[in-house]
Amino acid sequence: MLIMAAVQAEGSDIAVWAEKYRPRTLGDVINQRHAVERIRAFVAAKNVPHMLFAGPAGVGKTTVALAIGRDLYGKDMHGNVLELNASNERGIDVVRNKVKDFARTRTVSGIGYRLIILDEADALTGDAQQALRRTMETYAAVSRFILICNWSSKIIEPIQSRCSVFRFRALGRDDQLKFLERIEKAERLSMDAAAKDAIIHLAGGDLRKVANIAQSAASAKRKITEDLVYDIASRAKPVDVKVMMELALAGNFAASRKKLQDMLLMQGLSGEDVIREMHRQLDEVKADERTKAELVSKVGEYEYRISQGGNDLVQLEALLAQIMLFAKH
Amino acid sequence: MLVEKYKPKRVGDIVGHREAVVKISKWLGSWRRGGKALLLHGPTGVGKTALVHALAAQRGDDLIEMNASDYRSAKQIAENIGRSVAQQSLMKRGKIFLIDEIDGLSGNSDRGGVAEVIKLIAKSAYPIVLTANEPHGPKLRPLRKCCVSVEMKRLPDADVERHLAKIAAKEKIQIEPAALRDIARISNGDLRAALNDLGSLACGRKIRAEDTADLGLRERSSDARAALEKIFTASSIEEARAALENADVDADEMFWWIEGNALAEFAGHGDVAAVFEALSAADMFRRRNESCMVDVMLSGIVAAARSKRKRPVRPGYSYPQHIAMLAMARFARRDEEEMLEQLSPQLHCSVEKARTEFLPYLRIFNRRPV
Repeated sequence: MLIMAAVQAEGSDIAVWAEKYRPRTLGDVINQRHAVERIRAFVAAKNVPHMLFAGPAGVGKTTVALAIGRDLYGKDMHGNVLELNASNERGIDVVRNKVKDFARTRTVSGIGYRLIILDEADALTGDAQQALRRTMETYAAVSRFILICNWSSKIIEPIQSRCSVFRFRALGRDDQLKFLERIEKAERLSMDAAAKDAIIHLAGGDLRKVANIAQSAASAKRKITEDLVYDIASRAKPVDVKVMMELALAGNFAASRKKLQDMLLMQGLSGEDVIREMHRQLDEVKADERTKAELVSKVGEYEYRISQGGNDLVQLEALLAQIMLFAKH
Repeated sequence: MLVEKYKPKRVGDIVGHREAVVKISKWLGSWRRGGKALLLHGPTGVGKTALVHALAAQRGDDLIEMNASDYRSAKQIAENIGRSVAQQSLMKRGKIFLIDEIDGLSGNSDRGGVAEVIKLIAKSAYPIVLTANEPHGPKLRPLRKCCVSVEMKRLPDADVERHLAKIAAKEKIQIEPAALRDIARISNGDLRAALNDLGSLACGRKIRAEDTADLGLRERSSDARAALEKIFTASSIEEARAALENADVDADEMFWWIEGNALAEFAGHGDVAAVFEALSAADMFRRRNESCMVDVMLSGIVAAARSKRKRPVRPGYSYPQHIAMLAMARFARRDEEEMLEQLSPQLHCSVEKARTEFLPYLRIFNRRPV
């Protein structure tokens, strides 16, 4: 419960760096210039449309949405912004109850409308999205929506058509470095260029990861080196993936599947985590080049299905079954 | 109707189920206001409802019953029995409330029914008994916590046969032993079905062994396992679809039945891969287009079933592992879950994301066991 106390201390000394160094205003947001410039114009005119933010993880979608709320309402943000995470409450009830109740009450602020941030909106069920569509229209005068998702293809077209769509771009090396150096300076860390490169490489464009890896490394030693970074990262990553793949390649589908179920259900890993690690492990697999190439293409295929909303377990099971077919009898 | 005529009048008349009867008597004997309800579950026709009736009759209690043919939204449940469960009757006579076929609560028209039943259990001044064929589904999960579960298993064929013989003797029905055995076997542990079959074949003449061939096989709509077996052995998509439509579970739940039992059914690597591939493809339609999902799923299975190496013995199908494991995992990780739920709004991300993106690092930099 230490964590709880630490994160709750809003504003002062927030213990989770990803939160502590989340940019507070639109001006502080790392890159995403094309989106931020247009949005600043909306905010300056105090007239934001319904918006849909789409883009990869950790590039600033939620940060921009929260910054809009802060810039619009200032100290009154609390009563005027409803932040909901659709992955937590994905059914139609949340749209019919929480969202609708909030959307239809008039605000007393000078802005004239309230803001509803629906994060991870691609997790909303089809029914829930249908219910949302009418709500967005009916209460547009008193409520504006920001929908946030990784893949806009998972948002039904009628909703997309009601929104201004902003695509958030993957962040490059320089962007990540800028963010990392903000942390370095504020926390007075000592880290060399190789360590920074290692963090950026492992984070893969995700600023949340940059902060988490940096904080984990800093908790071990004040002086952060490349080796330390890789050591920390390996401690935070799934180790059973290799075993699972070897079992499948040996033709033991049942045992391989059991490992998978254990990782997804008992350890609570996401399908994306597992498949990303599978990609890495493919290099190590003992197989001829042709087989390897086919395996890479298989992994990519199921990765795509998961990205399109496929169920983690079902898709990875099918992938393991395909890998099993490579087993030599 | 033999079923009505030979309905058990006392607990001692119940066929089989010694263990269940002991547990139930114990539950009823120690029941106090605020205590748990009884969830009596098992396949159809084994005597769940009959046992409760017999129990009430033996104790001289009034039995107040609600079943799936009544109603059962939250409001209707509250109106129908909500008031009477809470009020101690002025007369000294006891009551037992029976909410039959609780798993038959419809998701749509009986919305909130489960939650209302939970409220009833908490405030009831009288013992409440619930019955269900399939108590393990997610729908009833919240309910299971406030119930004592007692299973009434499928009756062994021998028990059914013995009981049929007894009744045949009383009714002076002449029946060849082979026919008796066939009726018992065909009933598959469903005593009610067996009695109905006996009655329908009798019609005042001797029942010969060959007569049982006329018995129409029952479509056991309530049994997901039977539907699953039909799907796995179907020779056409139409056949498989019919089995799915008659099943008491929806397409989504059947998906998980298939997923959980595919390995028990199929042995060849190629067949296993084909079935999981069908599930994977069907999964892509799951939330968008149910009929597409069903077609894709079933066509893959039918194709695999045609080529499959036959297993010598039909496997016993088990309740979908995935659904059971989800529940188990949630239980095993409930402390972690609770913490993640609290962290989720503070980190402005979902519980899932808090788990996958933050938890591994929190474990490191927090330096205390999380």
